[in-house]
Amino acid sequence: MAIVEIAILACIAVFVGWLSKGRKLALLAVSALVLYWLQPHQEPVNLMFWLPTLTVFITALSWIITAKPDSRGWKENRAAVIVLLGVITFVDLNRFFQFDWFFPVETPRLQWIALVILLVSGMAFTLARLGKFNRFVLMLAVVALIGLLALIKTPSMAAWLFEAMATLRGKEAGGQSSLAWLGFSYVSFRLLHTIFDRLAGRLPSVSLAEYMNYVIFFPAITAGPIDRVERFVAGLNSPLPLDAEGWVDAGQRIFTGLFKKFVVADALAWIALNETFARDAQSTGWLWTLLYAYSLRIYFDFSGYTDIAIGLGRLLGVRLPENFDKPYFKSNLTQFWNSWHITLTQWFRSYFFNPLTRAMRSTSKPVSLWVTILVSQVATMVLIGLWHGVTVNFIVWGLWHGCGLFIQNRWSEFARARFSARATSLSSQRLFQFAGIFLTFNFVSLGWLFFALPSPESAWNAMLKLAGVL
Amino acid sequence: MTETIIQQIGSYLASQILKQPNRTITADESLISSGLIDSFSLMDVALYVEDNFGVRIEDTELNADTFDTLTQLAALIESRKK
Amino acid sequence: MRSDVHPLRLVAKALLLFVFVNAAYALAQPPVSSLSLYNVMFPGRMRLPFDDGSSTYTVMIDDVSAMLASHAVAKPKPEDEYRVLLIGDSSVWGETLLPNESISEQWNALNNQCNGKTIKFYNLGYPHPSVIKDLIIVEESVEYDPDLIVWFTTLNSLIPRRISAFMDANREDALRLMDTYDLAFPERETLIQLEPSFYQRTIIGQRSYLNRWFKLQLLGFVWSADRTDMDMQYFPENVEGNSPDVEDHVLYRQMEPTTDLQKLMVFEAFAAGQEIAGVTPILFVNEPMFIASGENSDLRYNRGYPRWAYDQYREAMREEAIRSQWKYLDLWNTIPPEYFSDTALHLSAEGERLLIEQVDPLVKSMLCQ
Repeated sequence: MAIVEIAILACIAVFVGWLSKGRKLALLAVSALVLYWLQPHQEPVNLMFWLPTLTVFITALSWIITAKPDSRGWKENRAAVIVLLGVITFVDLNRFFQFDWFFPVETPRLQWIALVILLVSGMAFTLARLGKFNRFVLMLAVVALIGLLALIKTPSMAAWLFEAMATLRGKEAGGQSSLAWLGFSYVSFRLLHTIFDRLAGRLPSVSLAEYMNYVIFFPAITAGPIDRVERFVAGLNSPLPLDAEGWVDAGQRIFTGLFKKFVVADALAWIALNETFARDAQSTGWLWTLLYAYSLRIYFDFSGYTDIAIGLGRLLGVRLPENFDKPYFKSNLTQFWNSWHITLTQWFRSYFFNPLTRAMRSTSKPVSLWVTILVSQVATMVLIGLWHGVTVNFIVWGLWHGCGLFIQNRWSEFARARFSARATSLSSQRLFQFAGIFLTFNFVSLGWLFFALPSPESAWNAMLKLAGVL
Repeated sequence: MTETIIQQIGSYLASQILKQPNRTITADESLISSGLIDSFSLMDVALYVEDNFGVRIEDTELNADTFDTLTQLAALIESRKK
Repeated sequence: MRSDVHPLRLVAKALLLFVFVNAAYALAQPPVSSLSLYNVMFPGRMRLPFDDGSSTYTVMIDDVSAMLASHAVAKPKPEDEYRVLLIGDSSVWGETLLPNESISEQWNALNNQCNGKTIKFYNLGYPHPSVIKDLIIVEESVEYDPDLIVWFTTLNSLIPRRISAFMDANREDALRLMDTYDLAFPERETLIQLEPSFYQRTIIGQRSYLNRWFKLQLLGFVWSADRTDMDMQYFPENVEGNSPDVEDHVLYRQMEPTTDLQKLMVFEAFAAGQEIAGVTPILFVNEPMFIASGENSDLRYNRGYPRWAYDQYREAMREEAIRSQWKYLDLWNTIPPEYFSDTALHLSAEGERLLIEQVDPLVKSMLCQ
């Protein structure tokens, strides 16, 4: 999101938040429109229309299979269906208006989109008629979502997808290997969360408008947070008033976010470690500063966007969850991961780490503690790595953190028994604290090498340079 | 009743999780957000609660938002027992 | 506490403060450009900041005080140093060359010494040929206590024609020097009209400049780590060299061979440079150039210069040097064609070494006696 877009969205947020009637539907319409408006441009250009439309369809279908029959009534959800179809048709009308600022693309012919809507709606209605869905359908949806996520996040598969699309259109493929699908990483994780909770029988009853608003809430579409549906819907249904305190709250958040992102992060981007800098580096000491610049940049960029999202949410009367809690001031890696991209790690804890640990700990012959820790930590971190993209770099990054967490866990267990008695004086406690922060920050920074550099070899070379060996 | 729960879990935490039997954990000491109990031990706590009080704490509930102190945990157990 | 804050009053106060700070900045014109982290926190740059097109390692700042403040020359001169400034265009700066291949660093590598002092060379070349641009840099850099100035020149420099970004950024210096020394410049009137408005002098009006200034300072981290100011990917090793054949026309900047170029040459800039430098001697060097030998080489020396124009220039320069008693070295045809890189004036690293060999004895004799 650029500054102008954020300003426009802030104005819209104030307006929608101010509405007393039809607030939920207005929010739904805006969020759906924003899906199209912010979708990055790429070849083939039609993707700018089809990807957001697919997001809407997938979300609607997920709602149908997860919602309890009593919340699926046509009467209660009619308005939301009309709004969504209205938005899609409205965007398609841009074919005639050609507002380039909104959508620099010729949208598909009306009869095409009408046909697609008819097919999807037919499918949706048939599904809705079926009544309750069994585990099989839900599991199928889980597999399909994860498969789709893997498809677009794996460079070779994405390249294959582009090739297939080009062949279908009788054109040359452009050699692209990454599909920019606005918000899909977040959207799919929100959907998975609702399906998992449905499987566990603990998903509350939500209407289509509420569900849809949770999944494509426009402040959180580009960079999270992920949130939980019951929390979000509760907030949506009892909005905070936009009084003086609300204005100050939201304003502070948005301006802090703008400063973090557009001043601090964008300036640090000039000197943040990249392939060229790492290749040409001659001075070990100064190379560390470039690596630190990368660490700070990625934090200020991400947490700046989160602040903006939370601020925009506040203008709408919705309090989004925090995603960062001073992660670089944490004295061990576990605490770092409790305060970095919190909603993502919470998600993985709820739906992967905890079930795995529970399974390993509650078998009749429990797996030993350290094996449990090693396996669940490493597997979780590798999965978090893969969420960023299915590449060797992200796997190595996951291993780096998984092993780091394991070692830190075992070390603190070892140290607690021996040093806790000694480290009671305030100054020695503080010393341990500082040493921990320093160590953690550097460990995390070295891990970012796998983000900053294009291949594991270049990251390894940079590590050698940082160690003064190369 | 609540008192007994707090005491029972408190001594379990001190002896089995922290391995410091002499340590007393107060009812309002924060357990999760302070990092006192890591995520593995948290699962052990959940299993302990399940075995001893017959109350299941879901995977999605093992976080500081659901409970962060012994008082809150005891309240959660009480509410599920009924 | 919170409820005491009135959002509207807060916005009004912020706006007022915003307007006030901007106006104060426009009125006071704080000397931001002379502040620099280079030579304090970071080592000074070996060349003036010039962007190779990638923006990875440098940023175009054009403002002469900010450029010099970031350069190693801005560091106080040690007792045991003879300081030599190299002035000129892109061939001195060293396009297609890494900093340590450029003329100054190759010269420094010789570690020349006399009278117990080391002769240290500073590359103050800056792309775009113009003696007026050169003079602005000379005036600004005599502050740094040089013992000798070597001023490389060529025909294009002597007939400056358009307002470069550099001249725009140093508009006041340029106009003052033109007025004081009566320097002819065809775009002078246009330059006068470029006077910045009040708005352009506020922080908001200056935001692009301030942004680039800030970027230049931050890039000190990268400079310190990598010691390079250009991304070589932008100059692949096989730069397209000069062709032995040249075009068959004889026009020089649309001018016919009958034109008297001497009237257009701004020799006054050299005289002004000598006056500004005071007792510091200046050595003028006519840059070597690529000389074509193939088709049409009877009409032109190379892509840039038809024979008639360049011959006029050499003759005029020789006469002027004698008349004004300048130290002058004409090296126009002294470097074989294979030592040029992408243009008729840009030398390869080897070419720079050959050039140094030819100037070095005179530099030593001027400094060491």
